[in-house]
Amino acid sequence: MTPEEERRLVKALRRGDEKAFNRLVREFQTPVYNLVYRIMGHRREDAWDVSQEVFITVFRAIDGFRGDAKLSTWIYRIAVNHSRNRLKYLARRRQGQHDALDDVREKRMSASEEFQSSIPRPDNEVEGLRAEAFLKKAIAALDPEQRAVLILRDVQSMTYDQIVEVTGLPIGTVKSRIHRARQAVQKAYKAWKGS
Amino acid sequence: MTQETRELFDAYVDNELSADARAAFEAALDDDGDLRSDFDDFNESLAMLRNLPQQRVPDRFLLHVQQRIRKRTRGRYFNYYRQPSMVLEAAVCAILIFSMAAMYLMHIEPQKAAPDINRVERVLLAPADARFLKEFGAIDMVGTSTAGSDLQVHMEVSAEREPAIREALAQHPRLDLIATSVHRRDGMVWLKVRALPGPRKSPL
Repeated sequence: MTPEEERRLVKALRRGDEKAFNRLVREFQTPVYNLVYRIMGHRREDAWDVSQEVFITVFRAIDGFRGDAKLSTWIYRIAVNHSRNRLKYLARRRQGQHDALDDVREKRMSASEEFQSSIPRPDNEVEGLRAEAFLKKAIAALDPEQRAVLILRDVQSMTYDQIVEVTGLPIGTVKSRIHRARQAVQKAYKAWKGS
Repeated sequence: MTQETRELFDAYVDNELSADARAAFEAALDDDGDLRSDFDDFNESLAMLRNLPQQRVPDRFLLHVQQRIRKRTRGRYFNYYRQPSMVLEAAVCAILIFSMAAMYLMHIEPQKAAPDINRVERVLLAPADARFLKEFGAIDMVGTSTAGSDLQVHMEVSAEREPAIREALAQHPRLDLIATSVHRRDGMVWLKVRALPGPRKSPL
């Protein structure tokens, strides 16, 4: 999206233009959903819910978008903040323990994935799925704050400056968190490879 | 030295080392097998992260977002029944229906074009009646109008002839003088005569 297109889109959103909002959702739903899904530790139910809340916040708060940063940066900031808040809420509610009901929901949500996984695949694809499963666990095991910046940097391919804008953290904090997160993933990868 | 070099893994992959530091780092990798092995693991894990497949957004995501907004704005947005075009169309239809109903109830009929005297003579006014009126001295038929199924002929005659035409019309079987109030103007009298179609009228 060019800066001019973005400016027009924001203007239309401020008017409450529903078509403009639909276009915005179609444009950003995949990166936002993926970002939230990863930060939420691959919990589909929560990612589904939080992603929707992100766009509702965008719709409601578009007047507060000053245009200092790119629209995408502003949307990712909302996504990160919503994800953080949801994680905090979940942590308070469960105090580190899985809720039985959520487990059931997670199983139901991932049932279709399991069905797809049961379709015979070539060996390299099976290996790829195993690696992906390992990586999901490794990411989910990270501290949420480290996880968020690692995903922004290495999954979403953002620059450090963009991450600073999205998270509002000092650059030093961003770098140190990414460093620790990468080390943790490397350690897990070494163990997984050896097993 | 090795631990310090390990701390440079990030800076190296993020291209944040100077040319000299980069060369020194690569030399250290070449010299130290353990360091190289650690760096390879670091690089591979990073490559895996960067190649994580995109998750497909669940179906009907947009629809669900719209539903939530509709609910929270109490139908102000994304309300199918309140789309601007629908409102406009509904308003136009309502106005048309209301107008037609009002016309029907008030018995208003659409205005008809004033009939042409010649056409009326041919179609509605019997030729004998037209002849009767025209032969009545200086009769000037100035216009016609219709009321229901009746034909009304508007005429101007001189005031002197008024008593004679009144008497003649009173005797006529199908023509009837219905203008009881006449408008005198320049010695002329305006008359309105109704021509009754169908059977002969009964004698008065």
